[in-house]
Amino acid sequence: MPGTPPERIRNFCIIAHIDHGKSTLADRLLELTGAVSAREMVDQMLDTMDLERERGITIKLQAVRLSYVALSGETYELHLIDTPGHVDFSYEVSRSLAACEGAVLVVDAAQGIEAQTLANMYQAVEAGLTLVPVVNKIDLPAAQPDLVAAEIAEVTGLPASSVLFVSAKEAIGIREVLEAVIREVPPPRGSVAAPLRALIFDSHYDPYRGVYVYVRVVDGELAARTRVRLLNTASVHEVDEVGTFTPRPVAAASLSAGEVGYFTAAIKNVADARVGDTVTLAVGGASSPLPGYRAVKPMVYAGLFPSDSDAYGSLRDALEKLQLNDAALVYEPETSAALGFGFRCGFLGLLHMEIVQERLEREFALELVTTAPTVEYRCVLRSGAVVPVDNPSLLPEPTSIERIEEPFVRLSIIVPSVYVGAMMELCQDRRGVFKHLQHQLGERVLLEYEMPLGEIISDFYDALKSRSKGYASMDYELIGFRPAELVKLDVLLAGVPVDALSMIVHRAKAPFIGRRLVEKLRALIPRQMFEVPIQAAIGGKVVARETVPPLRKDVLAKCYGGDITRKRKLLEKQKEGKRRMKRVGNVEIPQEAFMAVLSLD
Amino acid sequence: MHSFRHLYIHIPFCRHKCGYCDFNAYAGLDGLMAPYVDALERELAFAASSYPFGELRTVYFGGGTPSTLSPELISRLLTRVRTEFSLEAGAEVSLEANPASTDVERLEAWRRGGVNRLSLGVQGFDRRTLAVLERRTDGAMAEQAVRLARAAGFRNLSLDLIYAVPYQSLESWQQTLQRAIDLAPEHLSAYCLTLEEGTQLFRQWQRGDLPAVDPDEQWMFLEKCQSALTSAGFHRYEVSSWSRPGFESRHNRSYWQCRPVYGAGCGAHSYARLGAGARRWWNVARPQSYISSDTFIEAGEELGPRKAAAERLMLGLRTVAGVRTEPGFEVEIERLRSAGLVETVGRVVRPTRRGLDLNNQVALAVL
Repeated sequence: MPGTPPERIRNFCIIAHIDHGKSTLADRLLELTGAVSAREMVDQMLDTMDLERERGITIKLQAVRLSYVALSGETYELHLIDTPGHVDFSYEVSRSLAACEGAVLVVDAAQGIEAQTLANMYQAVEAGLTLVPVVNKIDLPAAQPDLVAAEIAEVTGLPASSVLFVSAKEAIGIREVLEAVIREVPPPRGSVAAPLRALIFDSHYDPYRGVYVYVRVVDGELAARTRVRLLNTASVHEVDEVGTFTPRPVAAASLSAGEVGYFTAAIKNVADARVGDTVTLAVGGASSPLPGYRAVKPMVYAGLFPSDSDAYGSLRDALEKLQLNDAALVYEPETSAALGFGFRCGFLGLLHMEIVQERLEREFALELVTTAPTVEYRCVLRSGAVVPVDNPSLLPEPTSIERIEEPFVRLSIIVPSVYVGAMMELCQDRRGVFKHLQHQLGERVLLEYEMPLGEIISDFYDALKSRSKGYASMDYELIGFRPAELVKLDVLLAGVPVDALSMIVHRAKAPFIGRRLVEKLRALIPRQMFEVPIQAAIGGKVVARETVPPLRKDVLAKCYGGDITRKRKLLEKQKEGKRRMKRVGNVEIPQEAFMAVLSLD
Repeated sequence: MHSFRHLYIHIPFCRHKCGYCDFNAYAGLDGLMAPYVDALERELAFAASSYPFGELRTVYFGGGTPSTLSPELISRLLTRVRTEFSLEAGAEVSLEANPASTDVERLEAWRRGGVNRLSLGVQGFDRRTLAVLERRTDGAMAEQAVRLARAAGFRNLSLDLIYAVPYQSLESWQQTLQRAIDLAPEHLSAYCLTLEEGTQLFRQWQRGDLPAVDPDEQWMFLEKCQSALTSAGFHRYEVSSWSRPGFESRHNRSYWQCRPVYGAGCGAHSYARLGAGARRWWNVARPQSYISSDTFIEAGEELGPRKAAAERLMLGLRTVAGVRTEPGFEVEIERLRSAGLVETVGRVVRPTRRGLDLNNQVALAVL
């Protein structure tokens, strides 16, 4: 629908707590506007990856154009932009919010507002978005829509009467949502006459067409067959096609100011069309980019190794393919004495890491051993050189180190006030520095801490959730590096150091972590023919020790004529299991042992 | 194919299927005994005419409970064995007997038929242990069976015992060993209880109704066994077998030495050597199907030279005497030697005491 005047365009997203019905509502909007017929409707159209469907979370953003004939008779062009709901992807969220003018705020009629909803809502308000509040699931027996509407009114400052009552599941109140969007959400501003500026808020890789770049045109017009420049990466491309998703891609002559859509330009890799970058014309384009661009940098690193060493090549190919569609994923070859050949990979956060791992295992049928995630430390040597260290086993000699610095984040936690004590205790345990406490509406508290990122990636989120009965939500942003008393904790099995089990920890916590780690390993390492001492050591000094006693009796009581085949097969199966173990010296280590470091609390 | 000189005959009938038992054994099928013996006679005749047999060195009636067969039926079988095959002088003819069915009449029939070794399924003397195992015999019956067998002229008796039974104490095991020793058998098999999938005890354990005995505790039982039997003049010649000198079970040894054994009866396994490899096959398991089967065989497997050799090592290293080393296993044997599980003497490799207790580790190394 090129040429739609801006006053008939609305760009919006849906924000909701997990399970409050965001995807179901999106499906209904598509259905009602005829974008997808009921028959071809696959449940939860917007979440295309299997993983997303299973976990009920949105990983990849999508944008759909809906053509809606309003009750007034006017036809509107609506762009629904989906947003991921996890702190790992907060930068992507901020960019997709920047592509919208409004947000439909969905709250479950039985659950009420949850902490996550608040965090999302504040982010949207901060981005200048107009809210359209909705109470969903009013069909539930436990629904209390009036109460929840009052709650929404209290936190948003909007009148309770403006809150819409909806059941996405039963298709109740869907049209009212669309009417509210066109009534409340302001049309896009921006000038068609100004030089082209379009915000890249997502992209995906298509094996036939190359990268589909998702853009929100802010000023000017983006047309096929023109040469465009990406202002931050300073690259130039020839646009093949522009269009919109309906949800299938439909080509158009151009996209003009206010519109949301895609373009393709024979771009081979999503990393060449970075989220947040600004698209302009190669000749006579805008000189200043749109605000907010940030080069995405990994926050978390881990080693990925194929459990079968023959699969190294397949792992490399798989990572290559994933990277085509995941600009945030970085990797380089790594060799471990314990785990063989693999890759050191960088991720946005723990969820991103888990997703990559699962995709490798599921889509590429790889079996992986993953080492414990770590952050990137900065090691300042006596020589003055600064060495980044994303792999504990590669920390330089202690004698050559002047100091080690670790990444710090500003952490915000929003939590019902009854859990404030528990949250403060948790943050203190994790070396957090208290900064700020602010009471919010609805008996909620905003807590701010400065904390080492390394503490957050070791099981912090689970601890946060379990100590707040699931009510706390968190967000963080990197604020820089700070020196700390950090040491490398090594694990020795039968006297041999296991590189893949080394970690960098705070000196004061090292003995405790060492003890927990060797206890866990003792439980995970099966008994062997020899006694296996497990030691945790800092430098040459052992801080914790456990022993796996040797096997004493491991023999089949009976082995006569009829038993032999069956028992041989049993042993052959056991041998297969043994083959999957990793060997360090004489010790056989099951693959789970390398993940033991993940949950030491 | 090398000729068979060992014959196993399976008798699947039992008064009661015990809770720990995962053998091919059935209670309540006594009505099939006569047709089953008919079928066995058919199979023996068929085997004798189809496979190469030398003079038999051992014949073994196992089960199930061979002693449940009536004197007439077992006599018929014993006669049939001697008409179809020739037995070498001094051949070992064993029969497994439950103390409850070891009576004067049967003992007489077994003697007359040439049985010269009895293996009595005593399993224990302690009432609680027997109850956990669901054995329907008691110590008094076991003692009576031994007395009657001796009176009937049996000079080679073996007793089976089971240890590491849930709730069994080390003291009670010590007493059980002493009572067994007091009965002065020539041979003792002491088996560590294994909870096999599909058995009643396994299900009880899965439900949490039965505690398991961990391997370290099992080892304590084994230690008691070893010291009690050694000081009583028995020597351990295999993982679970002790005997007075010269009374080792020749039939059982044929399995551990991978000699060709023909197995007759439902579910019985046969092992034949073919050049450098081997073949194993087994009969249909259910008595009723066996009776109505023409070929008796259900399935089999071919063992290539490497696998056959691995089996010879794995089984040979269950015995204290050990086994001839096999070419191509030098690395594996050296690893076991340096781990202290085996020692080599000339061309023979034999297990250390630790190697006997860790035979699975030996098997995992060579398989």
